[in-house]
Amino acid sequence: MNEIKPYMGSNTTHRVDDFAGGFDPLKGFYISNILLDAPWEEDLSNLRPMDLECHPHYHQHLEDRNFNQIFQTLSLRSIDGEVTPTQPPPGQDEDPNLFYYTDAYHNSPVLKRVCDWFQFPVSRIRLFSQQPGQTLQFHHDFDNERTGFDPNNVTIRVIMALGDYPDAWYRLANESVDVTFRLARGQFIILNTDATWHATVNNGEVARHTLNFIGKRNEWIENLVKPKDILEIERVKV
Amino acid sequence: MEIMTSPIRNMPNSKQLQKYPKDAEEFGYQPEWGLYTSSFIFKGNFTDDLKLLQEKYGYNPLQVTQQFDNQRADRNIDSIITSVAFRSNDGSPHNHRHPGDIDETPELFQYTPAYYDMTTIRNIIDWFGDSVCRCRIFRQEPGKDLPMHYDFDNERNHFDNKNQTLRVLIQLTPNDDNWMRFMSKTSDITLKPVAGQAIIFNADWVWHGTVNYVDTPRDCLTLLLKDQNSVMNLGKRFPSHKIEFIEV
Repeated sequence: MNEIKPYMGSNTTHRVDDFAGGFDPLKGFYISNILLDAPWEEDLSNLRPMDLECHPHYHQHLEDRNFNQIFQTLSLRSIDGEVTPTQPPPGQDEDPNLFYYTDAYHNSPVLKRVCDWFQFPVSRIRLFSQQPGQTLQFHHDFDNERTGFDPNNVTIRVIMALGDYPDAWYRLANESVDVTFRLARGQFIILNTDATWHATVNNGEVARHTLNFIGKRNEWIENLVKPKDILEIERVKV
Repeated sequence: MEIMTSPIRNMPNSKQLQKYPKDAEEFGYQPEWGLYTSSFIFKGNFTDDLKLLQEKYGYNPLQVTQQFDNQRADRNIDSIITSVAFRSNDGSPHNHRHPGDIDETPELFQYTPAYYDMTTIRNIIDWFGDSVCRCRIFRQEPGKDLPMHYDFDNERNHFDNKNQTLRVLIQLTPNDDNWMRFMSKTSDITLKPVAGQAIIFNADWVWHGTVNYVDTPRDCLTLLLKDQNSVMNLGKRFPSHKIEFIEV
């Protein structure tokens, strides 16, 4: 029997408070029962994503994944306050205090509200546009390598779908879970991308847009992922 | 600058290129606490089979073994789930019960006439081979929610982790607004499964719940399966993130 929960046998009833597992920010992921909703399409149409400018240390990964053919990106929050997507150098923590909102954030009133809804310390925020017919191979990232995998300073990513894309799929695999799924418009994933292998495919004929956040786990995240006894899909107007 | 290697599992660091699936062999579905949702999708005309089931057999409130009457009452299952069986312990399509307090094994069960009447759904059941135990359609009534819970399939085998009983869920009706949530040891997953996509898990450990927000029933093929090794191998059989369709 696993140590994580005292098993309550069939002669008793149980409630979700009896469960001690769920999203582990060191190893796992959370796919939300929350769908955010706001009319962000006009903001989106005004943004012009571009090639990622990769730090030389990570350049081999950019080429190996063929990244700039698959994705076009744009920063809403970046290390230099510019919309050009860049990364901090290896060994530098994604410390939210070192990052700045860009013009794309300030000039996108609805997307700004969406960004502000997430109340965890955020370093980078980027628009990712996966091009039609493109697939991103299985890989993992290096956010927590930067801090030596400090369990008290965990970096997480949030990926939120900006549309319903029936031909766009995600696959995530960690040490026990292997899931292929689609995100609904406004639904989001919270994950540790160092610990979770992840891949995406866009078999559709239009670009698949997501907002991608990098930031730090905090109490707000812990409260957000707490389950209730009833599975309720929470549709939140932003 | 020193680059650390992940303490979580044997993963390449940022100085190394990653080769999938070789570098990810320690990852993937583990039956005790894991969840697998397939990258393959069964495609076929389920509508005619479902119509025939409704007209010829009908759905009855889900029966449970008397031992679990407390669970049935607590979850209000009678008002949420109705069922028809393709494989049951006496060959009746209206018997959903396990025969007693013994391990769930395939030889305890036999196919019902409803199974033999199927043209496409039967092919899905057969795809899982000889390790299918009970096999039923769970019909979730419109507007009904099944709360987060776990079940007791492996209580019967004293939680033998080399002999796990797994559940396979495959929604058969188009998914307009049906959702499932699964909570494992590391992850918490809410998704809207596509009709024909397989979801596999150990229902004793992985908490699960469903909601049906539409005004039509959600019909879900539910198999109990005794073949954890083949399920563990599905990730390798279907390693790609690309979606594969299996015509049935």
